Amino acid sequence: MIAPTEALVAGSFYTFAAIALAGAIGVVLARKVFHSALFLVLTLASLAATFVILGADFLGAVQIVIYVGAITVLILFGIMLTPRNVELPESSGVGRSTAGVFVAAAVFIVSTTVIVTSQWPRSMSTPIPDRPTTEAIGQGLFTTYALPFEMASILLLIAMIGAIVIAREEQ
Amino acid sequence: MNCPTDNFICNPFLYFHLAANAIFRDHLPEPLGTIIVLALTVAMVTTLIALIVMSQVWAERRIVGFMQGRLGPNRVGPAGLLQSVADAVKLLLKEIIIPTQADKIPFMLAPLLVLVPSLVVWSIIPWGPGLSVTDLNIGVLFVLGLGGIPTIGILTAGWASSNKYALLGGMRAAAQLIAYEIPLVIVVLVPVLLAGTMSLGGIVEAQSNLWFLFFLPVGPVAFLLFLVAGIAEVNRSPFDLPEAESEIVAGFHTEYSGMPFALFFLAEYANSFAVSAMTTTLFLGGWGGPILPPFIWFFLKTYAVFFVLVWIRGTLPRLRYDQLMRTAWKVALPLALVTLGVAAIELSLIRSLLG
Amino acid sequence: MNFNLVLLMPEIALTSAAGLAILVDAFSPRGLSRRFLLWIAGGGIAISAALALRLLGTNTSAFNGAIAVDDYAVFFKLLFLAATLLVLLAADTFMEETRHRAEFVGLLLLATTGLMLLAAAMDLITLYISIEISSLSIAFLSAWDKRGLRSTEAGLKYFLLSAMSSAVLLYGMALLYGLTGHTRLDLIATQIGQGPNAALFLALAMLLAGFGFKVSAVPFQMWTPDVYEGAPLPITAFLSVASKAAGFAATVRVLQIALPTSQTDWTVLVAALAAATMTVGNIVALVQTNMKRMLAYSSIAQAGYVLVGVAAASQLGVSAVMFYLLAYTATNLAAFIACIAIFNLTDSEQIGDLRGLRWRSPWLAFALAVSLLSLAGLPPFVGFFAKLYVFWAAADRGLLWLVLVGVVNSAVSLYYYAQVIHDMYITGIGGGEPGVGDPVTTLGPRRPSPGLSTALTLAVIGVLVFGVLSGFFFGIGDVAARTVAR
Repeated sequence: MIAPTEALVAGSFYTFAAIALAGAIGVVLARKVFHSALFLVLTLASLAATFVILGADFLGAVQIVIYVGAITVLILFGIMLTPRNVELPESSGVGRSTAGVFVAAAVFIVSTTVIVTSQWPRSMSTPIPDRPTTEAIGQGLFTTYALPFEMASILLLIAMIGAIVIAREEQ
Repeated sequence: MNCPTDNFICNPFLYFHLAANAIFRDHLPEPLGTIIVLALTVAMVTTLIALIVMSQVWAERRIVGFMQGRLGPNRVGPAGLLQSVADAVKLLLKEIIIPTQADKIPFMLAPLLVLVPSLVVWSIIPWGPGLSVTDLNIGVLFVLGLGGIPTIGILTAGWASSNKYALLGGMRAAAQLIAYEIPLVIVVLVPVLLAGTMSLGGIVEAQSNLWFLFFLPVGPVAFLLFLVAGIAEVNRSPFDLPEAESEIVAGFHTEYSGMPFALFFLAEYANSFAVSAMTTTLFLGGWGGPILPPFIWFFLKTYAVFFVLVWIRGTLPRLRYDQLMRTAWKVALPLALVTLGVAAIELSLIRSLLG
Repeated sequence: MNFNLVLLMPEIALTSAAGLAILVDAFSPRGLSRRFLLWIAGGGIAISAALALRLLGTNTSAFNGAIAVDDYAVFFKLLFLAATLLVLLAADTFMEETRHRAEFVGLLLLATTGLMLLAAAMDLITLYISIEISSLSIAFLSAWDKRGLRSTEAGLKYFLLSAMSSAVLLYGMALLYGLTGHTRLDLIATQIGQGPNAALFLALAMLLAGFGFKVSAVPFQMWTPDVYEGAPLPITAFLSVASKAAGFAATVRVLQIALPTSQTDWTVLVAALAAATMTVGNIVALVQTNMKRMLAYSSIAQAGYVLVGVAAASQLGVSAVMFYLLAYTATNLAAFIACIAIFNLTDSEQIGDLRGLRWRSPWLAFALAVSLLSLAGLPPFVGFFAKLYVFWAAADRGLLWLVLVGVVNSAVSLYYYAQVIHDMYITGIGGGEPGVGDPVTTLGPRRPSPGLSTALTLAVIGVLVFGVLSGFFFGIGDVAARTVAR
């Protein structure tokens, strides 16, 4: 095992953050839906890596299992079932894309300014916990967060029933 | 009667590691030395896997040959042992053909997406006590996560080839993998539950007295389910619908040739071997065993499981698509849920009885 | 750790009824009859309401502070249960025509469960999941009529926009959590420091945007007309009353309990939202020719009046909001159920096609007229008292300009409500008597079913009784409001 030095942690964080951003930009700019989906895989996987770097190893693995392994596979599956070579329209008017860029820039500037200038109660350089988080998460789900956990299962039940009804053929 | 872990015969890898540390980490500035040692470890594991795959290909062809009443490859080298080397050289020398209609970057990316995760899995499978590149405390989850990524590669291959058969193969692969991933994940929780940890090393140690295979009544059921779902996950016969040659040419890798094809081929065997190794680790006590060095035990068991996979391939016909789906959703999934439930109840009963 | 399940019994009863309906239907060879499903759902609602009533006066929090069991929550739970019951009765005809009846009933009950939890949520996590429960089931229910393209469009639109608004809401919650280190509303309040804080303001704005979607406040109202128009009418009715009321219940609770220190900030924001919502809703409603779209814009405008009460930010304001939501639920349900019955008769959603309705079916015309007059805020109907209390609460806090905007808007709204009544009662072809070309007399295959008639009668009685006994019902709200307002 290697001791995670400060430089190593910072270096890997910035690397994965950059990859995640590049992937996100790729999702938006790619002309083929399939390419967008592949860029999404890149972004989600890099996010999993940043979770791990921040000490949330369980979440990182779950992110891979659920988002990379299941959700993007479903997205790709859906794309394959749609007619081939569907390209996104050139652009839906210059006005709309300008507005999009403007809104995105505004959100970025406002949130960055706020995050940088605000007084946060906790220091940003909290040491990364060096212990497994799995057990703590399990304990939390069955004690403190038992109700939200059960509610989430109702949510999934609704999603399942609804999806079956919507997808089922009318006879 | 166990092999002492600091003995050279029992654990040669320790000495390689010490030597590498002595050479690089003691003489080079810090991040650099560590990185070189890590890179060496990775290179070693990868090379070993390449060798293992060659041995597997040879073994599979010979065994299937004998099962079918023929000899199998026996011309190149003693007993045909070098046949795989010859095949590898041939594939490396062949031209890489990219169809004009193909989507080139995803087309070339796909084999890597399939291969790399199956190599990464090997970094956490313990070959002996403390003998893995790294022992993650979420090891099982990590393996499951990596198991989902090749699907993306297969889908990409199917889509980027611009070929109907490839597309069909990719779609079949995706549907099959999603269907079998669920029982697989659930049934993997049985050993996790019994061991009380997700670390692969911890699971092996928890089996020092009793292999989870023999934890009656759930052990054998969980073992079989894991094996079946695992075979389906790596698209081996009888679950090889994504590459069913009698229906869709060669499925998702129809358009691949030369080196990219070799990568798919390598990945397929690396995956089969990873499933065998995971079966060993989760149910067959991993490296545990008397007298012989642990890593020998590990490979013995893994090859034994691999033999079973070959045996199944030589025996069973391919499933039809609807049978495949019915097995997954109507048999494997409920059975896996019941197994997990029974395991949990049994475990809590045992705990309350033993205090 | 408080794992007292008794405190959760109303929700558990409703969820069990939903599960029972779906499972029994799945395992019965020919599917359940509509009547049987209604009995299961009605029974579940009745049991749930009884259990909720028993919790009156408990005033505690349960499950480690995840939900509150206070009179405020119980008030809203009973309101949602009543609304769901009426919607189910009114969905009689729709259920006859649709497949997957059991799933329809089940999802409606689960949506109600989500709304009940939303009104009780005391923790950002519970709040978020209950919003998702209700939004997801409503999205599915909106898309239920799969043969209709507009229904599918409505479902998809609602789903996408609610996902978008959830993202904004989550971002706001994340900021709030980052600022305080807590997800529980009461603990958040203890950690927020005094003084201006840009991050807190941003969090507040994002929370309001997220809730604004749920209650369709301007400028987050874009989805409303399309979804109201496309979704099956019973679902539109449910969406316009129960979902909206739950959004307000949660907004008020979060603002009052978690963010009392930044009251000056949110009063301004909510007042601005209120003014914009009332004005835009009423002005756009003026030019509508489709009855559903008109009611959609009308319900946007109504949300504006409720926001006036939220902006008042006092105990009086909270009780005014509660009374308004009670009044609005009864009135809007009456309007929508009347519309279901009328559309069944005429097969047309155009306002112009209501001409001469009083000869064709005087009772439906009367019910619609009563509910529209109440929506316009004319005495002696309940809408008048509701507006009175809301404006009173705002004036009490010195928000006179907002009251002025509200009063002007009420006057404007009278125009389009009165237009419909004029069409029904006064305009007729040939100057009065029903003629040959009269739309209402030429069509009309489907008479109102018993369930629909019952629902309409109950809703109209609600409008009248709540109006006559407004002081009594306002008093109930006032007592319940004490548990959240300070």
